Amino acid sequence: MNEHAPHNRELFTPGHLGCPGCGATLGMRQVLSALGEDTILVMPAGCWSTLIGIYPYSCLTVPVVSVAFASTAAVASGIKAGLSVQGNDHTSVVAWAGDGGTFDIGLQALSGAAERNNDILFICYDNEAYMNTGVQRSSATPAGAWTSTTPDSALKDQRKKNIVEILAAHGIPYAATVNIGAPEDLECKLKKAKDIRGPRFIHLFAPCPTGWGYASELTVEIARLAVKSRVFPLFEVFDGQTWQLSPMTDKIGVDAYLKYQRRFRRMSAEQCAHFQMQVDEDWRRLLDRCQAKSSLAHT
Amino acid sequence: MESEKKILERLSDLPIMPWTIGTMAWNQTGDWRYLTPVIADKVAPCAQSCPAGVPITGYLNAIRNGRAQNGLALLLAHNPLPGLTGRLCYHPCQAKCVRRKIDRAISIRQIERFLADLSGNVKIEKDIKTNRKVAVIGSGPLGLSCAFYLGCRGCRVVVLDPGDRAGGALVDLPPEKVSPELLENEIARLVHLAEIRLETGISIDFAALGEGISEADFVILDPTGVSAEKLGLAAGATAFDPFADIPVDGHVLAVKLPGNLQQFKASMIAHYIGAGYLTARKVLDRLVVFSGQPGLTAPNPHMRRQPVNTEDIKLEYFLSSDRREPAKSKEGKWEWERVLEEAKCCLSCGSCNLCLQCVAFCPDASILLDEDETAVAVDLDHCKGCGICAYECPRGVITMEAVSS
Amino acid sequence: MKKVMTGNEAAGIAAKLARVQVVSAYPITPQTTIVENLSDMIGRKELRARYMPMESEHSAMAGVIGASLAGARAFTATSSHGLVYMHEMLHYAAGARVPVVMVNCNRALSPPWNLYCDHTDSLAQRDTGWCQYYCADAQEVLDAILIAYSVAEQALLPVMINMDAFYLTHTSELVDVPNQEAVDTFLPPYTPSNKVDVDDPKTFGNVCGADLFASIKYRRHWHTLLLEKLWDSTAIKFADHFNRLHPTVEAYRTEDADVCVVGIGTAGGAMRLAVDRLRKEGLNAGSLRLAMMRPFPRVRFEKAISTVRHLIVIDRDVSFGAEGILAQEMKAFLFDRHADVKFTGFIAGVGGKDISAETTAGLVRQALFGNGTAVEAGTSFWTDVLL
Repeated sequence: MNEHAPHNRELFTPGHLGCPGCGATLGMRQVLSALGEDTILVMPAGCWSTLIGIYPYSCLTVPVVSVAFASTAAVASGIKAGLSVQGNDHTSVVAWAGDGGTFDIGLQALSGAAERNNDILFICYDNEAYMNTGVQRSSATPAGAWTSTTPDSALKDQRKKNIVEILAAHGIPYAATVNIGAPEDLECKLKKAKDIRGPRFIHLFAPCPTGWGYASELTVEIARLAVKSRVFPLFEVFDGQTWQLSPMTDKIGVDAYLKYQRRFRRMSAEQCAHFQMQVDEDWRRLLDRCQAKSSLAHT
Repeated sequence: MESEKKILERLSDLPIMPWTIGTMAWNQTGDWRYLTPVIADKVAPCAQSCPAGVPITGYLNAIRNGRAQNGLALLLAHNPLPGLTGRLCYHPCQAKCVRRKIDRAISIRQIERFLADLSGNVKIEKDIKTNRKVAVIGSGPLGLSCAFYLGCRGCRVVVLDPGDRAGGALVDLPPEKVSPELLENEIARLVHLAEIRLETGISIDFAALGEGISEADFVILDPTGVSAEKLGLAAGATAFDPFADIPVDGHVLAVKLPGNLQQFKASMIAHYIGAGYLTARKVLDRLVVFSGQPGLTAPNPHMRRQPVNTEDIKLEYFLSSDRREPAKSKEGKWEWERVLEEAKCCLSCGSCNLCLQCVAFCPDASILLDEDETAVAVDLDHCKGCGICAYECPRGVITMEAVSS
Repeated sequence: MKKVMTGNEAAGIAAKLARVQVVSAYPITPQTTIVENLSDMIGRKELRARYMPMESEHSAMAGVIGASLAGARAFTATSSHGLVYMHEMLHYAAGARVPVVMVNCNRALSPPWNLYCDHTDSLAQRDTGWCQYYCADAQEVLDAILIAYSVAEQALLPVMINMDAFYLTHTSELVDVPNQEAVDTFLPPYTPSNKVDVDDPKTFGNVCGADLFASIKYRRHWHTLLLEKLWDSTAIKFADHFNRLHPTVEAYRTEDADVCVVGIGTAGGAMRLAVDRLRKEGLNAGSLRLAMMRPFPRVRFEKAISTVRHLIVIDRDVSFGAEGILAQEMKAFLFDRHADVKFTGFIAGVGGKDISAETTAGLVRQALFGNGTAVEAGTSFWTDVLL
């Protein structure tokens, strides 16, 4: 394998078992297209471990290793070490986990790999709940959302865990948010991540028509609205220190984002206002971080 | 990797480690689909409002691809006098341009003029040949346009004008509006492209047209070429109304124009060209009826397309670019770079310009660019019908439809 | 070259001699000195390998699985809670058919906390699909690790080498360390034909329907059963190189034995002394040390007990609500082949209490004549317990 060989074959075949309009499958296509064929994927339990296809068939034509839920980052680190001792330092070893496999059960191994400075690219495709098992809450589920374990009678109270800040706090060389609705930005960041050594983290926003309750055609639209409303702002963090906003259009209210999704339909006006408040708060903090760095650069 | 499903008969068919042996491509997820994406070009708002029905987005797209000559050919096929429309027409197309919602309309006028002024060989595709002969009396924009279309459909056409110079009502325009050279060049190109004959200074016996031009199967009187007085008819009166399909004495057709066009107005030139096209179509229909010969009617495919709604255009995809200041109508001739720059700003409403957003956004990799890279097509074996392609198509080309298999 | 060293030192040296390429581990008493030594060897470049200081045993096992899938020879070591925490990944390693070798230092499980010898930790993993081997001395630890890599890489199955906490891990003995060239001849580099490879992109272990799942497990079951023969043939090859034989079952004076005491690990030595003592007392006694516990070494076990009328097993472990785990294993075997053999099961030495020759002889006497201090609990007898 020549590490610089441009890939010219489709790394993703149709016939997979993803729901119509699945954001996570679209995310995979975009990511593989950016990373190319010199890539090994490590995948824990999650939507992708099911939708990839039924053994002995698979919809991906890069090597994929299915692993136990909590072990993603550790197996990826092991694969990287195994390749490295055999003289292969060019292949990208990419962990591809859902929000459950990243925010929850996979966090310890991920933190370990990040601290050890293992040369892996960890991508979290975030659909904000345990979708594969039928929409149970995860620590990535936003406040006010319905899930099958935060039913209408008890919508989720707690806010979403800020996973990028957690990773950035490890001081890893690169962390970034990407969104299937902004494919150029996604491609640019994935290519950047591919060329950086050490632990890298990509938080990929992947709307789920089945779990969020919207028409399947709206997947990309919802993803865009998440960026516009700053529910999911796009940014990069270098070495855990330099925060940089990515280009985004003008900020809009969260209503435009919430209104399409049945999971939010039981939110009271008060809860909506609270949601907006949290988004504004997170956005201000993000702006502060980005500006703090730029003002430091000037002093 | 194999894409076929294999029949596994013995354990040794499976690797010892649980590795896969093929892809999922055998799994025809097309069965899941309720609605099917239909990819079909539609008529853009600009073209919808063009009296001559010019597929403006088509020639702008050709320019964008660096193929100005192809753009000119497409333009000429629908409007054989672009040098004149580029100077005279009031361009209702620009009023309907969707780009106005972002910044301002595309300067279709300037681009049209640029194309019209291109020299070089242009090839117009022609339909089947026929031996039908048509005489057009009068070489105004209507008559020339009608003669052009008939010529392009294979008729043997002669344009006869009693005046000294060809152009009918256009001859009387002041030279600062249309110079005699321009008029001459435009008409010469039309005659050349459609392979027709043009004769001026011909004395015509209007009283006995049917017999007078006895070798013609059809005779058409052009109201923009020969004045009503000369025709010996009251203004607006006709022997044959192309719009009302009234039978005539012999095969003589005098075109009746709507009231607002009866008094020649240069700014309405595209309407006359459009009327010429409609007249040609009517004549072709008639010729078929008279001859019993099928296949002569070749309606403009452009006209059969569905219109695209302005609301179906996804403005999100067309962020405001740093466009130059709007062109003043008096501004001089544009250079190629400026034309290219402007053409690139066209949203190409209703026309697939292979932006490939649908290909990129398909979660099932089920919209593909065909082998010669000229069109996109849906892989119906796998498309699950999610509708993202239709929603995301920036130009309203894809629609979700209930299609029986 | 002969050297005095602990079992843990022998384990580290064995891993080095095996030229392991990736060590992925997490510290736990009494395993720590194994990974300390290895990290030092790697640091000093005596061993060209990658040391991965993982954040948990679960990840340590995940790390060796990953490294092995990538085609590297991988090693780890753990103990007790570490092993139990790995449980999920043990299933995964065997299912993945990765030929990794792990040393487990048999230690009791809490609560209450206890650092000493007990076999419940590893015996509770007997259904994970790992080959399990229990050593009796430091020399065997070193040799078994080398044999284990050869067996694992032939069978594409993982091997767990067990040693008793402190009795072996921290007790110094004289060990004959083979030279590297000889080891290299016995154990060539690992060159897998099937690994994760971008030039041959395949998906590993995705969701499998019921139609193929059973076939895949059936084949693994067969391959695991065959490990007994494979170990013995590889051990003979090892003996050809190094003149030391490590069979799956170590039998002592069983040729004409009427009564036979069975155990695993360091209890082997005490059992031999006890047999000598009992023979002096006029009993036709013999002893068996099961070196291999998974797969159960049926061939050698059956041969060794051909004359035995009464089997006595000493378990340093318990399956609560049932009995000792070795007792269960042996009863299952006897039920198939020798249902007429009398059987007595003792649970002794759990949590580190020494099982001396005298203790062993006493248990045999109690089994035969009924007088002793072990108390009955269901189908087994416990020693050294308050009432």
